[in-house]
Amino acid sequence: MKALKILIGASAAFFALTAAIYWFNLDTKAVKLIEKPMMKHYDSMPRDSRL
Amino acid sequence: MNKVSEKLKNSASNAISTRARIKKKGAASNLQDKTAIQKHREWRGPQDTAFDYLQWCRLWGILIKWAASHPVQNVKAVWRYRWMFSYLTVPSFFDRLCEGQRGAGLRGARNNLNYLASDVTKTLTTIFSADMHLHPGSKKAEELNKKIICVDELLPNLLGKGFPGCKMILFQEYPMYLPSLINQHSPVHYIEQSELYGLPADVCPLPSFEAGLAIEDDFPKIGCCMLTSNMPCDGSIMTTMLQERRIDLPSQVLNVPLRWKEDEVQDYAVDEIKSAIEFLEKHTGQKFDWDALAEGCEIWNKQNECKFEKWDLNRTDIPPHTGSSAWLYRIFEHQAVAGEPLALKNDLKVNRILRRQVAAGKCPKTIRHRAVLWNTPCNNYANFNNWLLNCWGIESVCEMIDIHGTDLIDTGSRESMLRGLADHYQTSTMRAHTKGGSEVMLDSLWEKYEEYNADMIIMFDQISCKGVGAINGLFEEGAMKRGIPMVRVRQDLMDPTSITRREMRNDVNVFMQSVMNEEPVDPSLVEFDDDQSW
Amino acid sequence: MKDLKHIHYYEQLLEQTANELILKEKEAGGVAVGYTCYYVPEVLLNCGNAFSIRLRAPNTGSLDISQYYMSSFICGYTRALFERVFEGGMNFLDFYASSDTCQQMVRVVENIRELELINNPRFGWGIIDAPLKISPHGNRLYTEQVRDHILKPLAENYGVDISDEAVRAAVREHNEICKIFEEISEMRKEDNPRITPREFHILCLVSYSCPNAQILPYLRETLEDLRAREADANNRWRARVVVVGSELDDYDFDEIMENARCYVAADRYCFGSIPGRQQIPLTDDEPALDQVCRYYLETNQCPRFMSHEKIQQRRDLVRDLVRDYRADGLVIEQAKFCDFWGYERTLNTQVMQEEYGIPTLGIDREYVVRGSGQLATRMQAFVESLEIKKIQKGGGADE
Repeated sequence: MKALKILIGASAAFFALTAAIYWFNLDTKAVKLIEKPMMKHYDSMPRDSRL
Repeated sequence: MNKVSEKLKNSASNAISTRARIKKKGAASNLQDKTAIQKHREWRGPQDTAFDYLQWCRLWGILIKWAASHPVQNVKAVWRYRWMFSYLTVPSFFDRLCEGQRGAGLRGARNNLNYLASDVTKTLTTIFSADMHLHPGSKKAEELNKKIICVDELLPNLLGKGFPGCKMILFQEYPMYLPSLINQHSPVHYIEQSELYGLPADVCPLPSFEAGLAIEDDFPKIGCCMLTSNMPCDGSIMTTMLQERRIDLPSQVLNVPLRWKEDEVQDYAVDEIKSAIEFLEKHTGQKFDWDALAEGCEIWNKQNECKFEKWDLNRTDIPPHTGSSAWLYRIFEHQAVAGEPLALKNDLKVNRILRRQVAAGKCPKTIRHRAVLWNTPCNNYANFNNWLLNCWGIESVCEMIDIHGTDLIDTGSRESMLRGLADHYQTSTMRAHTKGGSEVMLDSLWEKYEEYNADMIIMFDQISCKGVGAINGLFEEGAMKRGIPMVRVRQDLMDPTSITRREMRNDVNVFMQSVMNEEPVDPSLVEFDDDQSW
Repeated sequence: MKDLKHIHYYEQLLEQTANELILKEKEAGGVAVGYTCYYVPEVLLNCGNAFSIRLRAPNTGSLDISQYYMSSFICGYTRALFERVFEGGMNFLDFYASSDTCQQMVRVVENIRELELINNPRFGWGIIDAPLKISPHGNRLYTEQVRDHILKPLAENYGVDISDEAVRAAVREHNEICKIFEEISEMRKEDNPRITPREFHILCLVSYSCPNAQILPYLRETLEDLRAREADANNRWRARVVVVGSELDDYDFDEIMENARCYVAADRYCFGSIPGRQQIPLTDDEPALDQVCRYYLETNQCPRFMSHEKIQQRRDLVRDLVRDYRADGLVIEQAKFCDFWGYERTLNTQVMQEEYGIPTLGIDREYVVRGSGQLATRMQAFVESLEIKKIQKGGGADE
């Protein structure tokens, strides 16, 4: 019974969290935040550029 | 607790009023300026939103499973390859491809896209596990590479079914083609590099992107051998020469004939495939398995039949499966997962969903026009179809890029299978219409227009495509002669710095306003800034 | 140097797409077969009473009509040809032999067909598919394509003799012209050559754009002229180059080179002599058609050939030309919007310089070269750099 309550509780929390991320598009916004530093990193990488 | 519930209440009522506001103000009001990131995900009604949420969870499940399977390797890959960043934006990409969709259209799209995600992540795992850039000196990676056959990305990999002990990988698909769809800015740096090294700016961005990847040594270092080809065009032939300087694998050209409608070239096409098989046997140490190929071809035939059914359904007044995700899935299916049992399973499931909606006579979208879209669509505006429908009610009932590899393969004998494969290659993506003679591309357009009961044509004018550009006038004159409204939408395939999404929309806006004299379904989508969007 | 006897006549001939020798040959019952590309074996278009014309569009002005039918990113040669067709300048053509080897050029004949632009009731066309690597089955395909799409229509619709003997006779005539060019070409290796680059290019162009039977007597006389000619006392050339590249039928290009006192010692471009003006060897133990087709595939230098051995062959040929013609450097020219040569130029400008050690200049140009100040400036600068290299190596700069 206790296990069932925990399971239900965890599921509800999981649903609430994922639904919030989904609805407010937080996953996309998070990736957008790291875009600039990632591009900066790629630009600064040493490269063996040649034909 | 009260504060929390108060906040939640406010948030919910805000969401409701936001929905009402959006309905009044239009879909663009939900987009952030310039980045066009949705402020919140689309409300599609309770059932469709719940479905969409579950599919989003499924997608994240796929991505997390992939990330967790080889966490260090995958982080290294994202850190090493600029193009890998685009894959982090896949959830947003799928959202864009499903913008405005409801019912079977949404279900078909999400199922297709999630299947693609599943297959792509598996292939990325194979690629990165074998990548000598990520695992220099690794014996394990070396062993894995002995079983990897690289092929030019526009060569369908159905032939690979005959090497069940090997993995045939479309070499440029994962660093180039898919990122160009997912994130419009992904090609820019690479195209700039190739132009910095002297490549003219007028060449098609696809081979230019590939050249830039080679110049920057940004292709994964994988494989035991490579099949190159002349697919689909002159630019792709030439970029191969540049790429091979970096790829440094034993390679052979698979020369696919251009005048594919002629019987006279078929013997040559078959001989080329035989020669390719010999080459692959030599370099993989594996014997070609004709039974495995037959099995793959039969699955592909069933996949094709599923596609034919989708086209039949789209010919009705209530087309259920149209737009960006449809053609994108077809390309991927034809090139990368032809003969895959899981792909067929997905197709059968999606077709059931589509049939049900058509049988119920439902059409959960506003269709004012049935358009045939001709020539290659624009990778840097992969969800252009969604915009057409959402803004102007233009439904893409038929797309040229969707129509390739339509002949079934006779698996009765080795010879008939080879002939079927040869045909499969010759009528591949971007080949089926742009080669074979100009009459193929012209006549087919007028036929499809009638077949799908269309009332307008959207002609993609890909400015750096020389082969189609050289017959621009024939399309204009043909449409005029037949009294067909045709709008020419300029685009540069995958270079957003050349022609922007906004400029593409403007071509349609001007046409719809001044030629068709219509008001938009959603005025907010007529003009908005998404230059920084992925 | 004294003017070559027929040079001005040649220039006159080259001013017209349908020159008087073409019209004369047609009046005599000849079948005018137009073509644009080495993929179409020139010699086979001269079987029987057929005669080949490699198509040009001299004095090209505005390209408004071709701009409408074709995009503005199509190569100038293709658009100029199409414009000329539209103007009625190619109504003399009886047959257009094309190849689906350049997606731009093949669209000219497809546009002609769709729009019915050639005002000639006899007009026909053929398009071949050709391999882009050498293989036994590729040779077979090529031979069949040439026979089925070019020779058979010529025979069936125009009564052209395409028998083995007719092919051999065409090769004999072709070889006679080539023998003349081989001898003239040797003169370009002289320290103080007695033929200028412009003259050589003009000779090449007339040999491509006029019926063989009509132009041969003139070429024979020109050869005699050259044998007797003495070069100017002062060697005015500051540098010698090999020019490699795409379609080039505007001899004003050579004028620009000459103004920079740069001698074009060898011409490895489309409408040039290499390949195209070398004798074709035939044996008696195999059908002439098979041998000719194999020859054209093996000697074809189009960058479309993407196999490793052909890529290497192209570079090695250029290296050999630089050596044999004692060139100081290499110019790789590309017609604007030519995809093949765009890539080839980009890559080989670096490869020939860095891997073969040959000073190389890569340029792109319009179809009509006349008055290109930019080209002149770049050539001047290149010539100066070649001179400096010569000085550094210990040779003197020419005054």
